Amino acid sequence: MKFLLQSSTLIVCLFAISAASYAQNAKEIITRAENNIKGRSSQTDMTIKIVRPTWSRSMTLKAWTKGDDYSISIVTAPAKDAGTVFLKRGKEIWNWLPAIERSVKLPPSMMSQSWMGTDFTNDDLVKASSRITDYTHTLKGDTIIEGRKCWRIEMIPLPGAAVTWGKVMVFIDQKDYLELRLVFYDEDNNQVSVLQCSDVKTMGGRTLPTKMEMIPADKKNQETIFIYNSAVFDKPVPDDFFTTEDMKRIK
Amino acid sequence: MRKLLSLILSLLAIAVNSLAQVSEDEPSKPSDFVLRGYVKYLEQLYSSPLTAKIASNQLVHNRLNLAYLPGTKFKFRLEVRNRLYFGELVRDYPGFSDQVTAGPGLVNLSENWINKSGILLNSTIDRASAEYINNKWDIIIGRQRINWGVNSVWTPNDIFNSFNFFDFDYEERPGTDAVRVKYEISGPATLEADYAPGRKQSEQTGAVMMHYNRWTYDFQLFTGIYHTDRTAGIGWAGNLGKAGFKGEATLFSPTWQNSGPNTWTSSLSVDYGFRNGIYLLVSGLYNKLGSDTTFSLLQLQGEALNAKNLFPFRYTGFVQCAWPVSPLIRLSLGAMYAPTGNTLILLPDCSWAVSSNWALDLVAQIFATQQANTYTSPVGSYYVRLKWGF
Repeated sequence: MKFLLQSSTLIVCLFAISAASYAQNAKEIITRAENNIKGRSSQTDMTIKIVRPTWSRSMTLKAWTKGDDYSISIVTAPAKDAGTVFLKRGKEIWNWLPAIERSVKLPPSMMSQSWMGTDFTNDDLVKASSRITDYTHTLKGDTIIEGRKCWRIEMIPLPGAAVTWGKVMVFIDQKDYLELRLVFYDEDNNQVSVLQCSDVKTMGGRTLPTKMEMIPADKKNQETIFIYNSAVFDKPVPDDFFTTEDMKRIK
Repeated sequence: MRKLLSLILSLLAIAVNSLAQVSEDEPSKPSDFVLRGYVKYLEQLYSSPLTAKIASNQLVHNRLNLAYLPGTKFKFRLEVRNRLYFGELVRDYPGFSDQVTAGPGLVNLSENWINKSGILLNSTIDRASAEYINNKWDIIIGRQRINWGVNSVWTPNDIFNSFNFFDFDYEERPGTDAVRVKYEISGPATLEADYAPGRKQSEQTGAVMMHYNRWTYDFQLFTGIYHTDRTAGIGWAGNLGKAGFKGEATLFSPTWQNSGPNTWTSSLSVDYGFRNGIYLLVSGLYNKLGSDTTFSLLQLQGEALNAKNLFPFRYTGFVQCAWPVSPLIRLSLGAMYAPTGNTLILLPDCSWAVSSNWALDLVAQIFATQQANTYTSPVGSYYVRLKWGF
């Protein structure tokens, strides 16, 4: 009996260790992939295209980020919106409106709203850090995307985490640790949208997908496309660059 | 003055012309000159119980914003609005051109080129400034906008250039002739000293403001002189749970130059953005100098109120709900209420982004007051606006 108890304890322990190492692996993969995109700091120039069944619109944007806490971006075209700036410091967000020359602090509830009419929410753009700390991560096997072998990782939000999804499936390239696809599900396990990444290129000394398409599941012929035109990584930027004063200075 | 304005506008035209040539020849080279602007056409219909018929008015409105940015330390701005009014209001409303021309500031930079037979053509320079930025210092001299307000409807902290909320077509809002010196203490903490001389000593405004960020709130405190009063104020922008929470209050106390009681204005607002895109704003104003008995609707329209007397009523509340029907179409309904005369003001608005640089807006402003327990025919202004930005 004693032997049986010891054996079963050992088996349970082994199982736990094995599960823990899998969980850690999945988390490590996600962390490495996240760092791959963001780096310590980044400066990017991108084009965003909103596609709807009967119309489409394009805008261009310049963005600077530092770690998870700081980001600042400025709309450079079309003329109607040019000069609009978004600033993030920690959990706070401000919007600089060039016409009235004022910065407006946005309420936290606006994080779940669409960002400038795109299929991205404000939260998608500024709280990506939660992918590491706000979820449990489980490896679910391998698959092929864009001719590349990928890990399939299931992410379930931790109880109480400020996450709008019920589940997220992430597909990460096994060679270069690139996030090639993210599938978002609601709390009832219905698919809400897919983020499809492609056009893998070397930019700013890194290999990364330069095109991202956010495709809502329930809306036909509708998507938002992000295209990186240029990128610079790990160029030192002081924290003081990300202030409401700098919102009116960047160009 | 006419000659000076003509000269400035000619220089602006030359700059625009040379800029156009540069961009054609060398499209890839970034220019030190930046030119932006728009052309708007505004059709206004105005109905009032005092006038037998509906009056109409038309406005062609052009704005040119020219910036010269040599390097990172200097910035020069020159911005002009050219407005061509024609229609019944211009012809029949006494003092219409005076209202268009009126502008605060040390120097008159407004000129009526044509003002006869129901046609008014005016040019006004409302920004003309030189800015020097060096590390932690930011100094601006000239005509500029000093936005100290925190709220979006009533801004008691805007002691340098308060604006009329109903003048929706003036998106940039008026500027003031001033010197502004700002010093970045560290990160988001700044200290600022601003002075606007005014045409008379009794019109001067000068104050020192401290701005800082703590506990996810932006705070600001200031003290100084507003015309013939001492003034001090406080403002903040933060959140209550997931809702935005902003507030500001300004106190005015007479100096040796005038007598009278202390007075103050204050405004609070809470806003919330729902996941489906609906945006809700609730705001309130207390204005000690505002009337709680009588007022005229004309006080709301056109006449520039000031920081000390921000709105005709003592208590006013405002609720606004905005709904983006699609990324291109936004519907909004605002309602303002003041117990004074049970005044109700409805502000429906529909804006449509027709294409990347074209926008169409339908706006109404309906003012109603209760007399002898019934609402009389309201005073209404109805607008259609087409805008092309470049």
